[in-house]
Amino acid sequence: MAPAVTILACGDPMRADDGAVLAALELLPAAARRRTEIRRIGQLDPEDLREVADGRPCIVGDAVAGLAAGTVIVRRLDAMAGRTASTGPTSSHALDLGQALGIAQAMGTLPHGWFLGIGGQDFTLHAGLSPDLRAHLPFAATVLEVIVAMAGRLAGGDA
Amino acid sequence: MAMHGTTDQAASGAVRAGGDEERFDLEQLTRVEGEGALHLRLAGGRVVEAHLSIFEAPRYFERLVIGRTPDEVIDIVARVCGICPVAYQMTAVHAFEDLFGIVVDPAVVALRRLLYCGEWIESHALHIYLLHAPDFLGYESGIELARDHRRIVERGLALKRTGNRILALLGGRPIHPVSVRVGGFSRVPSRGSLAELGPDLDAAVEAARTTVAWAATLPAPDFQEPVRLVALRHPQQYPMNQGRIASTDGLDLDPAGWEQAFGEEQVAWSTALQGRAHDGAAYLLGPAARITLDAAQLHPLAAEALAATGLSEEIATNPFRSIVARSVELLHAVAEARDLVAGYQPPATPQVSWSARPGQAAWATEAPRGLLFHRYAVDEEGVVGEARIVPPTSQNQTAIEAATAAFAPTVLDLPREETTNRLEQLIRSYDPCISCAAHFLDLRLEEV
Repeated sequence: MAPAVTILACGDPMRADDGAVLAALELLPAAARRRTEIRRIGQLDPEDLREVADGRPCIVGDAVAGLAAGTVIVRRLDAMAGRTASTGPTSSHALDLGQALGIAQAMGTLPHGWFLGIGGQDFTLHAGLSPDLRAHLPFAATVLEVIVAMAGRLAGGDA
Repeated sequence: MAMHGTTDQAASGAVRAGGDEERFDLEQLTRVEGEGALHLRLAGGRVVEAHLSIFEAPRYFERLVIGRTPDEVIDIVARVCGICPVAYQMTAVHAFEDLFGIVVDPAVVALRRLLYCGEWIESHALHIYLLHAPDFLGYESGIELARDHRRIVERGLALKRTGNRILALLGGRPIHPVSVRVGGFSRVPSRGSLAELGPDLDAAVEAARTTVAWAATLPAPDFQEPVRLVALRHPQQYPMNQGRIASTDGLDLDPAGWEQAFGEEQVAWSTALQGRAHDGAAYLLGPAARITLDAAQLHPLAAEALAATGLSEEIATNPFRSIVARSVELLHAVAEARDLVAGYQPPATPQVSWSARPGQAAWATEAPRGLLFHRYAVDEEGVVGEARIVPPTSQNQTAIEAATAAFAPTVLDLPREETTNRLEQLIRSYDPCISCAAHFLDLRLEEV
């Protein structure tokens, strides 16, 4: 059975809480994992969005600075397109999330879906999540599971 | 030049500073990596002071590597930059291998060049198409450019993707690769897995040829700023991992000998040290320097494309033509990558064994933005006791400031937004990587 949802998992587990989404995926129940195609992409690129199968919903997950550790936010991808993070650098060689989504939207390759952000507090160079984030990770995984189920229903998949 | 789309430029503009003097402040440079600003002081229509102000916090990597082993250093310095981690890894690994007398398998040498090609492809494609091209075509950002010129942006993204694929295949992932080790790689790909890159690279060569021809048509301001150009030079290959330090005024140094001719100094307006030649002169690194000094070693396809532009000489003096130089190097990198993939035979072993020796491990390689120098003092166990990392943007700052001072008077009479756009376009011509540049050498930690 083809996956009902693609998850583009951003982040780097060697930068502490930046690995939040990857850690949350580890807690996703097996039944939910079976409905998903999970791609670990480090940093979102417009090409990642273009490569999502036609019509398949997509969840872009990433850690978010500026939120309390473990806080979860969910936004529609099209509502995030073109927006620049207010707490991060305003200039970068890498495309930030809003730019990557905006370029995909401008080219007509932005899939339907959601952004799942998990607040982090420690983005320094080491492995392992901060204690606060670790404590709240089951909640983040539950939210992710709910979105997977919802996306699967919207896609007409077996969810 | 009319700008499409909305503008969210940070505050900028000219203000009277008292007497006949005026100031022009561009408080937030956009579409460059890191946080920087430009401040000009003007008197009588002349720029009397141009400061590229880098206010990004220092990164302290030179302290982070102290007490670390060579392989740990390689993984740590990759974190200096998200767009050019391979350059940091390659410079460090060559420095250690040179000191330790390690000779790696020729197939490892080829794979390292391929890895470096991947980084050049990714970095150059991103800068050409999404950071710099919008300036020439009158767009605020890559998003607006994509809306009106989808095929152009698709071409750039596909090229960038090809670079990412090379990095992921050889380095384990596209950002901050993890496979580079002293003596070789932790693992190497099979011939079959590398061959899977073939179709992508065939398409990338054609896309890069188109890129060169297209970049040459972009309207560049008529501006000449001759400056000493510095790059590695190698008799058989376009410089990446190897070569001697050369310049347009005859310099010829061992890659470990950067400090014999150059140094850095702290200036009040920047958290980045500024590089200068020991004679005090500015110098410029990067694609224009490499093409000027190493054109004879370009891949034949790149050399042919460069000749067809008719811009070989202008590239050396007009910074706005750096987009053409970068495009030629993009073509060189994809064409060489294709050749390396086609000729690949896996090494007998991914990594040769080695023993540490005490001494100074120093080397220079060519990052996408130019020559990158590392020096490490290591003990008999190979543990680092002192480090110096000199990124290309640190070295280019003085030349950027000089060019800005020379160019600004030609645009200061334009409407404020246009002046800002033109000055930003000039600075983006140098593809500055401010996060890399923000480093201190003299951090002292005192434990009480």
